[in-house]
Amino acid sequence: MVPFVQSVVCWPKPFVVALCFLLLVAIGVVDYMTGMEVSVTVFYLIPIWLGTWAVSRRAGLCLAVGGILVWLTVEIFQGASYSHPLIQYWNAFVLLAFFVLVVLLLATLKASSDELDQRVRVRTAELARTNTELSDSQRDVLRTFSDLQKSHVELKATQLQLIQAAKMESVGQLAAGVAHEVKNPLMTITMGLDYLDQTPQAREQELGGVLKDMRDAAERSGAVINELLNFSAPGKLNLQMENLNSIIEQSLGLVKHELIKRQIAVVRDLQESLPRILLDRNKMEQVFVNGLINAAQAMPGGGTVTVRTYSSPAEMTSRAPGENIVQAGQQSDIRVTAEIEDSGIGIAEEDLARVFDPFFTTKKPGKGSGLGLSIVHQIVQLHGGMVKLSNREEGGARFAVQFINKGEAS
Amino acid sequence: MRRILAIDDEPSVTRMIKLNLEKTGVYEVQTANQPKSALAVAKKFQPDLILLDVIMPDMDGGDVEAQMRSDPGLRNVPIVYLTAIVSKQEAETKRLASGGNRFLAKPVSLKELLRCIRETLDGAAD
Repeated sequence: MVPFVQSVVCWPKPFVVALCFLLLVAIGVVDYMTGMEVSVTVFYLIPIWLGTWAVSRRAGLCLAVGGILVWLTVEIFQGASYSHPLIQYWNAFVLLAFFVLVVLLLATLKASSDELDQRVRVRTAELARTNTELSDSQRDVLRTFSDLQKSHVELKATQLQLIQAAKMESVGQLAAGVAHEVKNPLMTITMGLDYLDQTPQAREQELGGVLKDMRDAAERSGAVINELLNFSAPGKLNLQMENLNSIIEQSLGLVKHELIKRQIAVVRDLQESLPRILLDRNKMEQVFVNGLINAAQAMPGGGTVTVRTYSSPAEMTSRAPGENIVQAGQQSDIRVTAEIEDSGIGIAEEDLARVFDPFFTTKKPGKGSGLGLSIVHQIVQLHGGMVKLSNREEGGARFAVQFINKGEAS
Repeated sequence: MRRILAIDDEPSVTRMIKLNLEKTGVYEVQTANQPKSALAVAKKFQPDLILLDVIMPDMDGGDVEAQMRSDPGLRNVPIVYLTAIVSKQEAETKRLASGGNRFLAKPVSLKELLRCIRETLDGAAD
């Protein structure tokens, strides 16, 4: 019933009023046909209620009057007889008063209901608006949070770079000064040992051993000082258009004996017709020799070194699964990558962030200066390239060097 | 006997060079620890080859070389630089950049020094 009334509310009002009057007439006909003994008076209220609820109070009052007129007409046609002729009109008046009362009550109820509906609608709209505002605020907060997180990461990276740069600079300045002061005494020691070596006493086993140990110590100190100098002043680059494959082959030749001695097999996966890039051949040999020696030292029981080169559009940087470092590059730029992979023990996670730090080494004291990878890092940076050392999922480590060919002729 | 002049502000270095080279019996060595007096020593000694330090007080190796080159008697004497400020890798690059003078990065072994002196003298003789 209620859904029907709700739909009637939406109908055109004149149509509803006409329908209600028709309904009144139909009820009057039924009243007449059922005779005096059966009372259907209460059914007159149906169109009155419908008109009041669906149209207006005025329509309800009109229908109440209309209903009384129909009722009175039916009474007259039925020939109802009362003790006094005015009783019939008195009954009609009382019934009209009842209908009017019902109409007024219904109209008041309808007004309250409409007001309530209106308030609910207003509140719902306010809630929806507030909800939208909250959603917007939440989105803003999330966006701000994400921006903050991004800035935090960038700041952290920049701070690390600054620390690294400051470290490099101070080590470099220190190195040049130290080198000069230490190399002269080392020269005296070295040549003094050379002199002592030629004396007859040097042939005695004990003294010979002492002299040898002293010479080893002096050579080791000299090597550290030389590395410091390389580190502090990698010098200007002598850039030529070079084929990375050829530099790698030459580096492999330099460490061939070391690899054979350690029972290490070499697998070559070198891309043919690799684009040529501007490189300092000697310095890049130093980079790859360092990478190969590190790989060999990570496999004390022998193993396999895979040397790979490939080129890719500048957007892509690595073939390795899960590694995609995106770096800005022009569309015509080609990224040339060289990777050295070993099947060794890998690098401890806590050491990965420090491998390029000056003086950082995992070797025993006296076995390494901890400058090799710092120099590599510096050389690659001088070339505008990128160097990365990471662990492979399959085990072992990957040493990767990347350069961008800026669309130069190859 | 070939004459070698060793110029270095570090007396212990020149002393060791002198001891070692003279022990071979092939070379006669004169030393100079003051770069300012190096030219006078050289003029008097007339060396076949000069071993010259790069960083010295008052004058550096380049200044000393310029003085030697301005003297007609010393103009063609080959110079081998002994330097503490370059690494071995850089020595070769320096040689090319300084008009053919050889550079030895300190600390240098006797074997290396002898080879360099021999090669330089042979080259100068050609």
